[in-house]
Amino acid sequence: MKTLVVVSHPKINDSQTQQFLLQGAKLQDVTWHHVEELKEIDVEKEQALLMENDRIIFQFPLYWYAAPAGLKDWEDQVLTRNFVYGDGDDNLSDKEFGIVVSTGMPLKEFQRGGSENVTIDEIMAPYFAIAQRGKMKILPVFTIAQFQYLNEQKQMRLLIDYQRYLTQTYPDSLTNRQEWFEREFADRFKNFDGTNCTECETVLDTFIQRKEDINQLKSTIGLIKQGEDE
Amino acid sequence: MDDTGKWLEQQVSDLAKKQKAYENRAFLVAMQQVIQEQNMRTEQLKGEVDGRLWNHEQW
Repeated sequence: MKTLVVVSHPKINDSQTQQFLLQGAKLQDVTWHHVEELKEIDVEKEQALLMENDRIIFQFPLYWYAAPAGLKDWEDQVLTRNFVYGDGDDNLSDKEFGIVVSTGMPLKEFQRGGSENVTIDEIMAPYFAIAQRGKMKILPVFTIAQFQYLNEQKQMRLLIDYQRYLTQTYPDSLTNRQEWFEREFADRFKNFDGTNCTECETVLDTFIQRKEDINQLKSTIGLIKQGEDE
Repeated sequence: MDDTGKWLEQQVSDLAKKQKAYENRAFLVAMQQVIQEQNMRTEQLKGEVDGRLWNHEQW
């Protein structure tokens, strides 16, 4: 699966959050595409990029309940009617669409009764509408609230959650999480300190075995349930 | 919790502590959390199997 991250931030080098995410996005099959860095928007090239990828992510800081102007400009030029839904060409259909949004406000304020009194999903409605028009599959929004206040443990968690958001199979179930860690562990363990391949392979094999044990238990329960119905 | 689950969690936890690179440490800490989830799910599913097998209404 290939993922395109369409990033919009007018001062990206000054943004700790975006620089942190940039490190996280250095993954195989992930393309980081910063729209403000484009000298000009070549519509055909941008549309081809969208078509090449299976998961499209819009990533931006929340400015007055919307993305920065750079993303709107990119959208207005690239997402032409004919490209998105006109003339029977569903160029985006069956692709997945996600949003990574950062905000300086605590997440709890984005609910009815919170100081913002509006939810993140409500704010993101225009993007969901585009995705729906393009017959895309919508992923839950990935919100990063008050990055600067996260301690090291929470930042570490964020990094891996973000990587999973970009590359893990949807939905975020235990089965899909296990598969993601299995694949990534196999890719990464050669770079681990203080261990050897044999040790890591044993860990990986045991992890896979545990996954299969769960599947076995589920299937046993399925059989018992079937028996109960008869 | 069974011994294999405990052993696996300990292995990954020890490995995480040895990592100098931030991203490797973050990855292994997150993997440890999935192993904890695996262990919990295994316990719950085993409990469900026992519960259903001992369901007196099916005797």
